[in-house]
Amino acid sequence: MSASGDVLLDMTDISKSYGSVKALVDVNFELKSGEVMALLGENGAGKSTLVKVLSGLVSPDSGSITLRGVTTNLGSPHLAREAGIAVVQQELSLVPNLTVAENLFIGGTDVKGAWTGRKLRDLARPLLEQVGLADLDPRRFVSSLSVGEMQLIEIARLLGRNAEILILDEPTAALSDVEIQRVLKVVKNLTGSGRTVIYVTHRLGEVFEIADRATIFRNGRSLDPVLVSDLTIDSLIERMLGRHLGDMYPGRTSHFGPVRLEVTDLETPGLVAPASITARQGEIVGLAGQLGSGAPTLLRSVVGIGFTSSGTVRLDGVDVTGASLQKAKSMGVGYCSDDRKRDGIFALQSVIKNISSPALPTVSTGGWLSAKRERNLGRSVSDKFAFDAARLNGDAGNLSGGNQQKVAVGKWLSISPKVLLLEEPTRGVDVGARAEIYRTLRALADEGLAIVFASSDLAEVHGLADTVATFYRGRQVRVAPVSEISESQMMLDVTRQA
Amino acid sequence: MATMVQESSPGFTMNRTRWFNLALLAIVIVVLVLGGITQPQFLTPDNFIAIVRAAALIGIAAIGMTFITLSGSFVSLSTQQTAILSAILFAMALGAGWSLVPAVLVVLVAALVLGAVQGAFVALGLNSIITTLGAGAAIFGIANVITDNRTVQARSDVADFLGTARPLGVPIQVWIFVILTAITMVVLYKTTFGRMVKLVGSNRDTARASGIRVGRIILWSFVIASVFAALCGILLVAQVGQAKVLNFQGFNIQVVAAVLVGGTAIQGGAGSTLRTALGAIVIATLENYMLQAQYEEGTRLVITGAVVGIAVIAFHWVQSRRAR
Repeated sequence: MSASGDVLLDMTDISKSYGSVKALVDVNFELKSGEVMALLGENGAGKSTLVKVLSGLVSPDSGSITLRGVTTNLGSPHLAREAGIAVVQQELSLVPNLTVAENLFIGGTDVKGAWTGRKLRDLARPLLEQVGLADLDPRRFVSSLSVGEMQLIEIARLLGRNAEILILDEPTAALSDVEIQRVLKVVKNLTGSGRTVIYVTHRLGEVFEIADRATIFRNGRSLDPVLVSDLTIDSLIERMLGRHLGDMYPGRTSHFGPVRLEVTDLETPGLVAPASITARQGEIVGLAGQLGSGAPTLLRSVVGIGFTSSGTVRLDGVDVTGASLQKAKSMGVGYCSDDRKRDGIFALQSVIKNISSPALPTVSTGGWLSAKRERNLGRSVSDKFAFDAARLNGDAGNLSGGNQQKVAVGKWLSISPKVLLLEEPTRGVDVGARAEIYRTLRALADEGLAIVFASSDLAEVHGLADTVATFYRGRQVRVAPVSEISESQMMLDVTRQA
Repeated sequence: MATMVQESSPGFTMNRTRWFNLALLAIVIVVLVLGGITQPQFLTPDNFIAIVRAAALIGIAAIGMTFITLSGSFVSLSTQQTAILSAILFAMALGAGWSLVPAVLVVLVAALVLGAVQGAFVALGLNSIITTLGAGAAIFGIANVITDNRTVQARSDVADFLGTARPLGVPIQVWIFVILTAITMVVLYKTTFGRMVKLVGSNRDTARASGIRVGRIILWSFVIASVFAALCGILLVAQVGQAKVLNFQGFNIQVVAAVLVGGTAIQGGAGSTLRTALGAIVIATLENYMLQAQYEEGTRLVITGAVVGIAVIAFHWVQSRRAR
């Protein structure tokens, strides 16, 4: 860990309320120049509000901000930028139809005169080198880049503005493990060139890899910053939750019933070789793979979203190959993609309407909805998912990420499924809700459900699944009981470094 | 609770929406009172009947259009043309000696087909505005061709009755308007079809992933809108006894305005036909007042536009408060 210098930024007693909701309460935040400060906390703990204060999007109700010893007003995005603070947002803000070089200088006014292609390319090169993309042609269109490369371009763009304090808001949330390593390496190098980084993340492993200190937020309040070298992952989680977590992953039972889902030699665009998996009653099968591994494609073709070129899919022994989504649903297959905002929830509808959405026939008679049956359904699903029933009538979009994920997955319980297929079941979910989702999935499996999930988080696959299948670039590498494969072997499989 | 920071209580939204409904009624009352004070003939029984008749025509078409908007396909720009063609077909059928029921049925079935074709294109992925703009031009063209630009006389006692009868003192158009509002409210709130319309409009991808047949819902929303527009054409012929291609001037704009003033979210998923009906009353009252006060056409358009703008902004404000 690099030695940290003088105090660069000091925020004292910052408070911010939205109506009766207190987002920040007497928060203190200190940043020393040249360090990587991790900013941690559950969803809704106040991290994003603090980031918004720093980037000038939100004015605090009270408190003071000192930058390099001088009291500073960050009242607008412009002032924040002038002060040398820049944010890489969680949602990428690049323009896909412009080139890399053009994207780097959007909104940057340092380019004098005409924006000739050559001038932009020359200006772009040093920036790209700093983020480890020296080989990338600045003339390429951003739409042709991987998500990881886009994230690096975002960082390069801020370097072009000579920002001294860089705030990275969950830069790795949508990246695969390999790309994460790339981004982390770049972040480490940033501090070497005299910049200071605030790093917001849900992936606690990253904290130990790159951060010098960590400030933890809980319920809108800040804890004193701690040296990362004084922490273990368990003590970190306990600090975040303010209580003991217990084990992250629930215990296994390993009493499996007959085969529920049997996929044999399935071929589909996205897979370069046929793949086979089986899931028994009570079994959780984890498909491990990086982006582009083809594991999610397999799930999609089972559920009728993807195309099946050959092979068979059997459900409780019945051939359902090539069934439509409606057919799969009526046979008791639930499917949840990795992007809940896109196709997992109805953000502007109430939670209860979200939950009943796949099961409208069961809460109606001859097309007439029964409010009572719908309410009962909502209650029983929220009971199973440890979801506060008082929020059933609120809009799903107002929930925290963890609760949204519970709704996106939990709505499938409304069809009394036999098989549940999930992609990235805990993406962007805080650690507390994550443990609850694991517990619920295990409890559902114990009730006889077969669950198949695809994930790029190897620890999650290894911790939750009974059987593991590894995938690399459209090929199934191996299927094994979890007891017979180590996490490092899984890592080798999905990166093919064996 | 940590999560409370992001999560609002459910009661909040209900009150805001109710507040918006009351605001719509308040606008109508204000216009009526102001109109009554400044224009002596504004509050006469005859003019009142004229207002509710106009509101009924705009309202019926707007209620149908609400299904399109709610299901996330924005608006239809062929409503006016569908009403025109339907009026012409109905007048021709009556003029040829058909009796009322078959004439009505044939016109409604024709509209059903027109709506289904447009709905099918949109369900296949075409932009709804472009589809209905094109369809509207084609439908208007057909109306021109079959009338050769002449007025079609209807000549039918039954139609006269339909147009001028006032059961319990209320014109028959208004009865139909009220009954359709009630029926569509029940459909939207109490049936799986209505729920699916809102879910499809709320998030098409989630609806599809939840196993809802999205295309079918889109198709039916266009059928409903088209049939309701045809009903307006029938009611106009019943009222005036003739049809020509110059009927229903500005009807598309008025109908869209009614839907928007009623606060149906243009991106879909939220809104109700009751509020659309209130929106239609606002638009019709305002238009009538401006005609009485002899405003120039340009001025009327500016004011109507301003009212729509203010209503949309006000509702957006309510919505964004809700999202906080």
